Amino acid sequence: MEIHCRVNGHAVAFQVEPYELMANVLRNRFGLKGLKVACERQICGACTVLLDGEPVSACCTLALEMRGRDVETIEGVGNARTLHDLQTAFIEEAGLQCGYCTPGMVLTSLALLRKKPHPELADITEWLHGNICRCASYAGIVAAIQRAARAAAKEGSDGSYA
Amino acid sequence: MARTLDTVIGRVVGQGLPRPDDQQRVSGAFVFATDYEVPGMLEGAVARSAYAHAWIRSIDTAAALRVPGVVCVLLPEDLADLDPYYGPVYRDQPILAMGRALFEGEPVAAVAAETRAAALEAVRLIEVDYEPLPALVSLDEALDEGAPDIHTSLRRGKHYSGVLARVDPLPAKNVAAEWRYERGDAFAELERADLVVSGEYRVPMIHHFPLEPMVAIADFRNDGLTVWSGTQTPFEIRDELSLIFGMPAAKIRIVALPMGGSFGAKAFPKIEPLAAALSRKAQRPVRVALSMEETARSIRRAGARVRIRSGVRSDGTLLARCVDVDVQIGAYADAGPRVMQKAAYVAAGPYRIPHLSIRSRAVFTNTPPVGAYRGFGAPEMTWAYEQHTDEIAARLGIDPIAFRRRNLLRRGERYAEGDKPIDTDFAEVLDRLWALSGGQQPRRRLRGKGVAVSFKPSQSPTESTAIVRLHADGSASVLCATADMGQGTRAALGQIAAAELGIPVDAIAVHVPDTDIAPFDQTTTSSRSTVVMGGAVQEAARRVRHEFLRRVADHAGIDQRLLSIQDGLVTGPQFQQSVAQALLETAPRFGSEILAIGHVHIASSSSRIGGATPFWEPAWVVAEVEVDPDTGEVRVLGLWTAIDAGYAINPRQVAAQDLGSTLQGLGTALYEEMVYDHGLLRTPSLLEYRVPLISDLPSTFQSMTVACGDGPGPFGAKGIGEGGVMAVAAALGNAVADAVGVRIRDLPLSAEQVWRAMRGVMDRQGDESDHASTKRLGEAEGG
Repeated sequence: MEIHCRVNGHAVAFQVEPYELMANVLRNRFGLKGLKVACERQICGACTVLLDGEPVSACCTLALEMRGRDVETIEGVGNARTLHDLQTAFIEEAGLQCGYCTPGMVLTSLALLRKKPHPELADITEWLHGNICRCASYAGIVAAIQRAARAAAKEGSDGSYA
Repeated sequence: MARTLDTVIGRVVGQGLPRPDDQQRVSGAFVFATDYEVPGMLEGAVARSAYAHAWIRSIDTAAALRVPGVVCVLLPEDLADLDPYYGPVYRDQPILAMGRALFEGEPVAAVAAETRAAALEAVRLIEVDYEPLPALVSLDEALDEGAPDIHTSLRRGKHYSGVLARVDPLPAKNVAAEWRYERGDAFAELERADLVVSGEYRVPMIHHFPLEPMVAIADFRNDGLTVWSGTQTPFEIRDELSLIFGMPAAKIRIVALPMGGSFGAKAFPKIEPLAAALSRKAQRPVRVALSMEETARSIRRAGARVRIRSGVRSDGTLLARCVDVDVQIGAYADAGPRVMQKAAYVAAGPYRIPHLSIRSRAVFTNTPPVGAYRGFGAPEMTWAYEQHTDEIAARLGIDPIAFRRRNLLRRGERYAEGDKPIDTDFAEVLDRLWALSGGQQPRRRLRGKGVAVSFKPSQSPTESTAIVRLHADGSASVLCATADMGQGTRAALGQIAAAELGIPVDAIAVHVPDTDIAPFDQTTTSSRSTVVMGGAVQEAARRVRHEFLRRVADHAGIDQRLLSIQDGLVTGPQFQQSVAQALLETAPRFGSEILAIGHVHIASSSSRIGGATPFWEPAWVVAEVEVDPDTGEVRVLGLWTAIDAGYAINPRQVAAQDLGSTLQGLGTALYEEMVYDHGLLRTPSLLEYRVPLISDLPSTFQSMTVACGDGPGPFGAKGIGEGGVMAVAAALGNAVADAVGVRIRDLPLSAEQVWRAMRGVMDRQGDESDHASTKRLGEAEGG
C-alpha cells in the first residue's frame, strides 16, 4: 500500500504491508532511531511519536495510520547541535538518567505545552502518566516542563508553545 | 607543583556540569545497545521452555528450518564440542537447556534468520516434547525432604571464587550455598536479656524491568569472537566466553554498549553466550534482541525470608541478635550466592551488637536466576531489620529515633573484624534528615512518619585500570571499561581527567568500553567506579600531566615546579602557552602524544566476605504517609533521603541518582512483586507489574548529600547510586505502622495487604508477634 504523509515536516511517500507497525517503519525504514521500542504493549510510552500533534505509541499503531498525516519524531524537535528549549530544560533539570524514555517524554511534554502552555502539576501528571521512566527521574522531568513553560511565558508570546 | 586544589575544586569537579552526551540523549541521537547494528547481521530468536521444570524428550526443528530466510537452528548437540556453561559463582547455567529445563523461559533452542519476523516464525514452529516435573517455587517447596534435586553437582565459577572460597557448593539438597557469621555467644545472651523481640519478615521476588530489553550481537569468524552487548561486566563476560569456547582472552573482544537502564539486570553473561554460539554455527554476525517479557524471564532480584531475634536491656541497649536469612534464588546460581553472602553480612543492620549470629542459605528454585539488583541484598535486609528496630523501640516504649541514636555505630567503630571501620555519621545524619522533614508531627489519624537507616559495603577485593592519552592537539582520551547505564560515572571520570590535566572538560573524550582497547576493570557494579576507576583515571592523568610539564619545562628552560596548567593554558614565570602549542614545540624532541596508565588495586583482607570495603555506602530515608481507610491505599506525602558522597564530583548528578534510586525503591515498597503460579510468570510485562509512575512523585521530595571530603576516591569521593532504594521500603513500612498501628512484615505494602492488616485479617498464619501493639512516636529529643 502506498502512503503519502509528512515526517518531521518533509513530504514522504513509501510502500507498506498492511500489518507493518509505525515503530518499525520509522526506525528501520527511515532510520529515525530516536523512538525506542520497549514494552511493545503501549504502556511505557518510550515509542511515543506525535500524529497530527497527538501522542501515540508507535509500537501499537499501524504504519497505515500515517497516511495523509503529520508525523513528528524526536528528530524533528531539535538536534544535537540546536536543541529545543524544552530539551535544554530536560538537561538543566536532570530530567533524564539513562535517556531511553527521554524522546517519548519530550514529545509528550511538547504536546502538553502546545495544548496548555501554563500547565498545573495535575496537568503534567495526567499527560505524562503514560510515559514510564525506570530510572525514576520524574522530579527532574516535572521541573524541566515547568522550567520550559516559565521560559516561554517570560519570552512573551501569543500564548502558544512552539 | 604550582597548583592549588582550589583551582580545580569547584570549577571542574564539584560542578553540576551537564553530562557530555546528554545532548544526544534528549535529541534521540544517542546510540543504545538496541540501536547498534553490524553489517550483514542475522536476527536471532529463542525458543523457551514453557514449563518451570520438565524433561526435554525431543526437539523437532523440521518445520522451523523450512521458513524462508532461516539460516540455522541451534540445538544442544551443536554445543557438544564446547564447555557450554557459565556463571560468576558456579558454572551451572548452560547456553541451552541440557535435557531438562529448570525454569520457565529457559532457552531450549535458537534460530538465526535474515529477518526478525522469520526468526520468530521459525521459533513458533519448533516443536518441543516436554515431560513436566514438579516445579519448586517457594522456599518450603524447595527445601522439602521429598523435593527433586534441581542440581546434583556444581562447578565453581571464576569471578566470585575468591570471596566464596570458604563457601562450599551444595551443602544440602537445593541449597546452593550457606554462610554464617558468629561473634560472642548470641543465643546465650538472648536468655539474659531484659527483653527479647522476634519477627519474621518477607520480601517477594521482583524484577528490574529496565526499559531497554537485553541484546547482544556476536560475530564469531576470522579467528576471533566479538560481542557487542548492553552489559555492566565486559571483562567478566570475556572470561566466561573464553572458558566456554576454549579461546584465548586476547582473541575475544567485548564492546559494552550504553544501556537504557540496567540496575544490575545486565551484569554477568545473559544473552552473550547464546548469541556467540549462534554466530559460530551461522558463520555470520547474529543479533539476539530480547523482548521485555523475555528479559523478565531471564533475571530477577532475590526473594527472602528473614527471622530476627534481638535481646535488649530495658534502657534500650542492643545486646544480642540472631538472624536467619533464607534467600530464594533461581534455578541457576548467577550471582545469587554472593547476593546471599553480602546480604547476610549486613543483616544485623548498622548497629552496635556485641553478640551476633547470622545464618544464611541460598535456595535453588525453578524460577529465573537471581542476579545483581541495585543494593545487592541490602534493601531486602533493611526491610527486615529497620522494621524490627521500630518494633523493639515500641515494646520498650522508647522513641524510635532515640533508640537508633543509642545503638547506631559511630564513625571509627567496626561493624565486623577485617573490614573498614565505619566512615560515616549514621546518627547525626539521621537527626539532620529528621529535622529537614519537619521532625515530629502532631498525631493525626491515618497519617504517620517513619525512618530507616541502611548501609552496604562496596566491592572488595577490587581492581580498575585506565589509560589517559593526551593527543597532539591538546585534547585527551580516557580509555576505560566503566560501563554506561545512565548513572553518569563516565561524565564524572571526564571531569576528573579534566581537573587533573588542566584542560577543558569538553576537550576530553571518554570512550565506549572495549576490552581490546581499554585495560582491565573488574565490573561496573557496587557503586565502585567513581572511587576505584576514578582513582585509576586520576593517577593516569597525573602521570600524563607530569610528563607533559617535564617536557615543557625542559624545552623552555623553566623549573617544572613553577609551571601550572588551567583551561588548556600552561603558565609560569614570564611564560604562557596553550597546551596545543606546547605539544607542537616539544614534539620534535620528545614525540607527539603522551600516554599513561593508572591502576588501583584493593587486595583481599581477613574480612568475612573477602575484602575490606573501600568505603561504606549508607542510606537514610524519612517517609510520611497517609492511609486510605476504605481501600488501604498508601499515599506517600513526603520522602526525604540522604546519602554520603564524600565529595560530589558532579553534585547535580549525585542528587539525581539519589532521587531516582529512592523513587524506584518506592515501587518495591508499594507495588512490585513477580507472581509465579506453579513456576509460570503471571507478571511478565508492565501491564501486570506496577512500577513507579509520574503520579507517584510525593509532594515533598528532597535529597540531602553529605560530603565531608572523607572518601578514598578522587578529591575525597565515595561511591553512591544505590542509596535510597536500600532504605525507602522500610521507612514506608515504619510510616504505615505509625499511621494505622499495625505492623506489616511482608512486602509489598499493597493496598490489599494494608486493608487486611487494618482489619486484623492477615493472609498467613502468624505467631503472637504478628499482632504488634499500637505504637506512637514518643517525644523525640530535639524534635
